[in-house]
Amino acid sequence: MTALSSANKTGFLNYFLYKLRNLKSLIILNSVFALLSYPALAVVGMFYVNAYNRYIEASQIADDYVSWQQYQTWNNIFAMFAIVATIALIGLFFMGLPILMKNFRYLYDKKYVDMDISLPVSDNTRFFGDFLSGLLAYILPHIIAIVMGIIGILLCPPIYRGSVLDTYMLADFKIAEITFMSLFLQLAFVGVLSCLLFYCLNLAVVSFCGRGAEARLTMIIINVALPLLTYTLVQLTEVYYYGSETSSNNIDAILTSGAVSLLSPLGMLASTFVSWLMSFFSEGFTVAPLRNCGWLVAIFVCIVYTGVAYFLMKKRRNEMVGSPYMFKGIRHIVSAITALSVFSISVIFDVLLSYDAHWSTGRVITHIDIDFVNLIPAFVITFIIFIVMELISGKGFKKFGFTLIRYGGCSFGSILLCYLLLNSGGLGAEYYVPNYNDVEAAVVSYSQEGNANGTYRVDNIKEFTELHRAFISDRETNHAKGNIDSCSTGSFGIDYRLKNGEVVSRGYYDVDGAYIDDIARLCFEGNGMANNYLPISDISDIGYITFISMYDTENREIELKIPAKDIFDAMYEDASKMTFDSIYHSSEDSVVAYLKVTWKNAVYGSGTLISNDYRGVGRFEEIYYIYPCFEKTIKLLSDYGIEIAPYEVNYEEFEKAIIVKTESDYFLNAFRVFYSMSYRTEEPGFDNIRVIDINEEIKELIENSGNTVYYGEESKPAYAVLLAEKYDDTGEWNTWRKMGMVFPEYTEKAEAFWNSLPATDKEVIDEVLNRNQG
Amino acid sequence: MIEIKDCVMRFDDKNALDGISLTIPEGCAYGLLGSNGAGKSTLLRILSGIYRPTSGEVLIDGETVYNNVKNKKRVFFINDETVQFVNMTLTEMKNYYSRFYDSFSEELFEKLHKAVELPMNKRLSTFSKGMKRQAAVICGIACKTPYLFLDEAFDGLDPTMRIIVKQMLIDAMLDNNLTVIFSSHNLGEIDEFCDRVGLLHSGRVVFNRELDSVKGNIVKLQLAPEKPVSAEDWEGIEILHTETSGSITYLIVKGDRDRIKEKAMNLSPKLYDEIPLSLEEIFIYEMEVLGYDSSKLGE
Repeated sequence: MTALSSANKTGFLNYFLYKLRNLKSLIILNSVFALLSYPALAVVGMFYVNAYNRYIEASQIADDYVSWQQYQTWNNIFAMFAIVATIALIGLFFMGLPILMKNFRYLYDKKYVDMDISLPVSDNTRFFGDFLSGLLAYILPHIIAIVMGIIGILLCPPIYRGSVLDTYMLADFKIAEITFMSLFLQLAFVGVLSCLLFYCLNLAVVSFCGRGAEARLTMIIINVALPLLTYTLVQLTEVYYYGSETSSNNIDAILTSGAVSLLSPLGMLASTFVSWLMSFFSEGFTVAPLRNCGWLVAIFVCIVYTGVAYFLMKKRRNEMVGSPYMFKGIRHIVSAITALSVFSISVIFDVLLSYDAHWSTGRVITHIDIDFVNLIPAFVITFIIFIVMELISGKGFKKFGFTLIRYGGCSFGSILLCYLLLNSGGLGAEYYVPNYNDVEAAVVSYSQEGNANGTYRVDNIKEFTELHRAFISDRETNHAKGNIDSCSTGSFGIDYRLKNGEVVSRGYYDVDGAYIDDIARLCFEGNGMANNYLPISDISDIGYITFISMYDTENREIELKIPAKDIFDAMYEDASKMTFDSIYHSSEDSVVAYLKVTWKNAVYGSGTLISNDYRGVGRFEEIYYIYPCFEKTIKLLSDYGIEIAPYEVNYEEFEKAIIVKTESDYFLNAFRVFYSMSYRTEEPGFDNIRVIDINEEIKELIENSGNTVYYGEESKPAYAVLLAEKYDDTGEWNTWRKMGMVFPEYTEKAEAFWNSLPATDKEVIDEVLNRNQG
Repeated sequence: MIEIKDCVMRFDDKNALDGISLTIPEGCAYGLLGSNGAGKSTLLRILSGIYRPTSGEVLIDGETVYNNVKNKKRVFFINDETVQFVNMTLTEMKNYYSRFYDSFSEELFEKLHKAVELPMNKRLSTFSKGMKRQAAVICGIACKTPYLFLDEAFDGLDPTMRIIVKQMLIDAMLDNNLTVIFSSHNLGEIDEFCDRVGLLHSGRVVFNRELDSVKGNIVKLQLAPEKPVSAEDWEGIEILHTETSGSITYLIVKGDRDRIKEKAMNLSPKLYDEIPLSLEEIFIYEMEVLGYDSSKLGE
């Protein structure tokens, strides 16, 4: 007689314990894999990190061979354990398959149907007994190994953190103990979660298969296709439409990397690995699947997969075991998924090829076409997979005609779906701009040479959303706004933070320069200029302020004794009076000086400095420009003995002038023009540089040129003018002292002047450009 | 009691069982006959709760079997394969069943085991076919379920072991009022062992009766009539087979014995003899009527 009472003989516990005992050999193997992975990695990792931290510190002070050798030794040991642990982790992960296949053998192996199904246990007992016993056999060794790893970490010597006088440089690179433990726990948790997902997903797969070979093939297809499809479908929908770079959060809820990392085990592992690689050992880092309670979603997904398996098992017929696919419709679904996976990748590659071609011409994409020639590999690969599926089905190609029809339908259906997604405008997200009443704050970043590139708060959200809508509707039909001065392009990105907490993000490039101008103006209207210019949040945290003159070489850097609050109050008031146009397109408001703010407690990288001696420590600095129109600021500086005056050119300091002609239609500044042109003097026929004596015409051009950017126009040349002097001590030429792009309104004069000049000998140009120095 | 009412079992586009209705009383040794693919194994699996019928009703003691734990505990099925147990030892197999069947008797198992003398701790993969069969039978009997279904259970057993196993079954039937359904192609064994038989063909029941009634109902006649025999001479009697050799006519007829004799005497035969048929012969002639015969070999 068994120890169990007769009443329990058909009960769940009895069945569960029996199935668990049946898995004894697999549990032992699983345990071996588990022990070789987490505990080993954790303990060896701790010793490795200690050696690494010591080495990092030692390497900054002096060449410390002992520390280096210790580090190398532990590095090699860690690498060896890492290889073994990786293999063990892979084994640990895939152990879910033999456990699942052994417990649920009656689903696909005819010889076990009679034996297992005839047992006097209910369907529910059988399903949940098999499911839970397999899960326990699979996950428990995993969890025990993780606990052992945690104990190992706690028992290891604490991680070396360095001396109190550590420089900020070292703190950035060292790995903190809590960071190591945090990362270990996160990776371990994801490991368990991915195994759970793996088990449940494959259970759902095997529940609709009737044969072992088909079960195995379908598991491979589904496990690979699921993350691949979610990724490719997101890419097709979000990335390639109308130059938009990012998508709305409404779409993200459905098709984000969360879909990749939370629906499939391989997707979860891949996104974890990638997100860890991107942040490595950063403090406060969270692996992708655990963000925003993603783990809850993953558990829910596991429950759904298990529910699907349970439902299918209730519906399936035991007499069909041994036949290909229990449910005929499933075969079509698997075929479609296979075809869609292969074709979606091919379409992405195809679009990437043509995408680059589109963007190189600067045209706006109105729709994206698919080149069928580039899809030939996909047709071939899909056909091969269909043949393999046909072989495994055991039908002997009897209904191969139907298979061909299914192949054709799946292939062209996949292509059609990809095409529709590509041209769906992000399923409508392309046209979405939030209502300004729903927006709490907006931050825009734009980039275009000549504009103040960066990230700015938008004060006038209403007008900005109108501009955004106008931009979207213009994109299809209107390449340029018609502003003759703005034929260049740039890019911008906007983040709307809505009142309900959502964030709507968009990014565009190849944007008409006129829109960039409009955006820039909106950023600086009202107090926008001041707010964006001076985003001081905590003046009390300022360490010291350095005044730096642009032109006074004798008193170039002075540490200010002015209270920070006073100087920034003055600057804020001055900045509030500035306009967007006053900053650009005029040399009169060029920067005359700037303040360099050094913070007391720099916060960056992995931690806050603990040192009180912040001199030479502060890495976090901010630059604030002083313009000639900053009257209050200039007066305040003057009160403290610092005089600022706009720089006036003393022509007697210079010996020659250089005028450079460019016919580019890109955004220009003098430095860039001169720099790029100076390397082209060897080209046959190159005749874009003139070296001349300083005369009145040059002086007029110098005085009507700006340090800021000038927008070139196609087929209309632009001119940069520079003054050159010789260094006293070396005799070499210095051409970087005074330069500027001639303003558009003086271009004609510059052109007339240019045409009047004879060509300059190459030897003279080379000499001034210091080309023939030994 | 087993009641099967209009049971249909469909596989893809074919009916393995096509609306069969049967009643098998308690304590009966029931022989299930049929051609290959007739549906015998399918029926046994339905009775064991392995398959769910497409339609119809299958009741054991008034309750369904499929997914009915209580009723499943009263049923034990020994199929015609033994490969599922090959990784087990006899001890493990015994423990497997004893774990799930309330009525499993260690005592009975030991008693049966002594009779077959099988090694307890060797894997069944090392057993011969017959030994595997013995192992399954003794486990089945030791479970002491009221119903025992055997599909080709004697296949592979040597003559001595057949006698032993038959005796085990008979003892179990006598001791525990066991109802046995026994499917086999070895009609001699069914003839010896069963008291009731059913014949299936193409998913349908050809007959379902007491064995004596079957045998009594069909008889082989050897007669030398004065004139050639015609169908009208045997009106009301089913002729299963006719064969003439010279002046002797051999008839396999089915019907009431007295009426058969009466009809025969009407022919004023010079020779009249009734030859009892074996169950195998009955099977062959019944199937011949249904078009399932060996004459196809010559076609």
